[in-house]
Amino acid sequence: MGYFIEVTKPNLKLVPKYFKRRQTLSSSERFTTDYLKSLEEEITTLRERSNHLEYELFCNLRERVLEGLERVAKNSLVLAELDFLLGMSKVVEEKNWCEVEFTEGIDTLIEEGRNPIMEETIRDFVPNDTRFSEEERVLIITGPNMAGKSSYIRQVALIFLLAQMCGFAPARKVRLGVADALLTRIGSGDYLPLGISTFLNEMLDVSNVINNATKKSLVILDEIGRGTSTYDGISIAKAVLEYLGERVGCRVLCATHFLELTELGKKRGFKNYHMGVERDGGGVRFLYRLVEGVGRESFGIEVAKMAGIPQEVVKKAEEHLRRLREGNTIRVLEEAYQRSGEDEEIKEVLRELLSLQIERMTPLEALIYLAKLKEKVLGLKTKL
Amino acid sequence: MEERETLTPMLAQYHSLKEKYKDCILLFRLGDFYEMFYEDAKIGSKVLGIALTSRPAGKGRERIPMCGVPYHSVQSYLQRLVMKGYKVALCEQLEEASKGKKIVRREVVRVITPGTYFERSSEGLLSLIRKGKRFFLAYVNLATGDFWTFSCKEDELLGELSKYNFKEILTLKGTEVPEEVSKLFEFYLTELDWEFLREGLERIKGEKGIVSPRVLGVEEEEYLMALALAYNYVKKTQKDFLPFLRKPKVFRGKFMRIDYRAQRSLELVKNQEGRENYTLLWAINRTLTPMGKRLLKIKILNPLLDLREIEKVKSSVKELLRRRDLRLELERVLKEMPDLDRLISRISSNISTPRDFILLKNSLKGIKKVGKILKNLSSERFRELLNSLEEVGDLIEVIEKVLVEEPPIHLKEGGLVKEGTHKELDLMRERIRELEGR
Ligand SMILES: Nc1ncnc2c1ncn2[C@@H]1O[C@H](COP(=O)(O)OP(=O)(O)O)[C@@H](O)[C@H]1O
Ligand SMILES: [Mg+2]
Repeated sequence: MGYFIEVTKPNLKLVPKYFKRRQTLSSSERFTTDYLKSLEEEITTLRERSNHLEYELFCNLRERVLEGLERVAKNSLVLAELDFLLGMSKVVEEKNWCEVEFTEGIDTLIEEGRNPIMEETIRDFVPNDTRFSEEERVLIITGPNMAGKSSYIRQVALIFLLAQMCGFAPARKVRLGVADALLTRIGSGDYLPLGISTFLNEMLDVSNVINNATKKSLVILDEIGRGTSTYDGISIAKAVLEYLGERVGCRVLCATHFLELTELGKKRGFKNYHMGVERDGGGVRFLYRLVEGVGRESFGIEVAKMAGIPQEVVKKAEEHLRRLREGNTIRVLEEAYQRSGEDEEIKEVLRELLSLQIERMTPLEALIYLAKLKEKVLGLKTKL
Repeated sequence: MEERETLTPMLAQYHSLKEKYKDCILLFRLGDFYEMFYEDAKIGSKVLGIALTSRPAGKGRERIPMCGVPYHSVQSYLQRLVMKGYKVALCEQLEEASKGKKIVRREVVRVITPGTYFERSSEGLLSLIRKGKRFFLAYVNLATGDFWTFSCKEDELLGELSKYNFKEILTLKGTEVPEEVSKLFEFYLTELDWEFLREGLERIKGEKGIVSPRVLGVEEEEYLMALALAYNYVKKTQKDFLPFLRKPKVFRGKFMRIDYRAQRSLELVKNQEGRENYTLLWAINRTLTPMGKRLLKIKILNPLLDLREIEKVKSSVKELLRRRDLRLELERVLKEMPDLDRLISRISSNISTPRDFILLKNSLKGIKKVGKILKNLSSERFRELLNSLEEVGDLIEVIEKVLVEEPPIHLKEGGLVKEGTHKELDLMRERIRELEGR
């Protein structure tokens, strides 16, 4: 806006002649004079010159700083490293991690290990031990759904990773032999973009594991063989475990609901564990505690109950299970099959029932199957 | 382009620029606007949701599609185009329009691509050279100055790629990028020719002093090729805006192998949705600076194998656990640290404000304090860090001497420089004050 003399309206009559009008406002007028004008011009040029000079000085400064930036960048690396170490010391203290002792070979002992991610969200996280040795390299972990198998095997992988990253880990005590690789086959939806069938995908993962595992690797297998028919699945899983356990000799954690895999437990290098579960009234209570040996019961029905499957269905399922256990069903079905004579349609239904593996079905699958079966039987009613 | 003569001179100029930047959307500066023409205009109006208009193209020609954005808000439009995966060539007027008929000089001053938009994004780019079953890659991140090369076997490629933040891959024409890569990662692929590579090799030799792979401690020429592709690309796209890059290194060492599947299924730094919550990084991150966090991520993805290396880390963490006093001091300093890497990037690329220099100065003072704290720590790792700390007192001094503590954002409106820095300036200011006093 520049410089001016402002005179309010009532005082306008006092304005001398040499004032020059510049601007009229509602309640006043602004004037300038020759002298004021020359002052203003001088100030403006001085301003321009000094601003320009400042800009030049700033550019010089920038040049000098640019020459030193390489040094600053190196220091930034030092800060990053310090921050990393400081951060680790904080989490070690806060979360009570222990110092890791390292051994040659594959011997490993983790006492009261914890899953560092789950521990953040679960109040009463249950710690578990892990042991690997030449005699016990492949750990097969069974247990019903939701018993904590997946969480446990991931936990072991994360403890190895952290131990080798910073020498500390979330456990009470850790002694381990360094792993050269973490190889995993964990089923999840994240391969969808590849557009390959789940099973092919699973096999690609498995082949990746097999091709890259060395004696020093840690392999994590979660429910392998799930993407195909039961017998295929069991056979493949067994062969993979045998190969890894006997030919490669690496450490393996395998979570599975195939009880058949526990047959491997008899072999040297293999060991069975299961996730502890207690019957609790009519339901079931997960202990999240790793126990040696095979968990015999699958508790599928208890889980179904907890999941809110209607009482009626659960009851029926219990009945079926009892009959299955007593071996009655099979006999009854087989007799019916013999008696059914030449009727192919009836035979087919019975054949299907005979080959049905109820213990492998999810409650939902069982329900769907039941509905289909009912439809079929209704269609056959007249013949029976 | 037939009959260029009948085009208006401005459009003729446009065509000759556009020819050099065929794969870009050309933002053509016309006074207070950046204009897009032809196909670019159609894309621009759709992506940006702005009106498509038209303008005459010359005598006897049809009108051509056009749309434009005001120059002062160009950044937000730029961002939208780049985030959508387009490359944008920014063309400026290099001289004031004068009364004479002559057309003003215009040049493309920078090309902004998904992997080089360093002021708004933290994604970088990777170049990839294939040699049989082996890949040689270079990583550049202009926001942080990271620049290094590494190699991997074919079956390790996915695992290596998923360790990086990148939005762009550069290859040589004819290089086959494995199908899985395109399916699992989202990026913009740019194919470059051998001439581009040759030019890059010259540059990396001349400007970075890497005359042979041996300088980097390796034998394979392909490491150099990967660096050269990446370097020439950022150089040619960013021109005068190219920020500081670290001296290139070969990233290698003995690390625990964690492949793509394991990284994803164990949710180490990204969960299944690609976010950070409920990952290992999320659970254990206690870092105080962005630099520290970026490093933590690298450490998680590259656990060590060498026992001596692990012991080094362990004993330094142990020492910190004992020295609570020093930890608190360190914490105090680190808490105040800005993202130093990004600051360096801004300052070096000419998009900085004077305030960035004050920020830098304060950070450098922090670094001096860190140096003092380090002197009290005795484990090997800390001694190494102390040794690699560079003296920066001279920089603190020059900034402190020249700049006022709270400078304005604008460079050309004065008020930047302290009293007592420069005699002539002081005199001029004195005179202004005196004149104003009358
Ligand atoms: N150690 C543990 N302590 C407490 N809760 C646990 C533990 N492990 C698992 N859980 C709980 O059980 C749920 C199911 O665990 P998960 O590992 O998925 O079971 P599984 O793989 O056997 O089906 C988890 O989401 C968590 O809430
Ligand atoms: Mg599971």
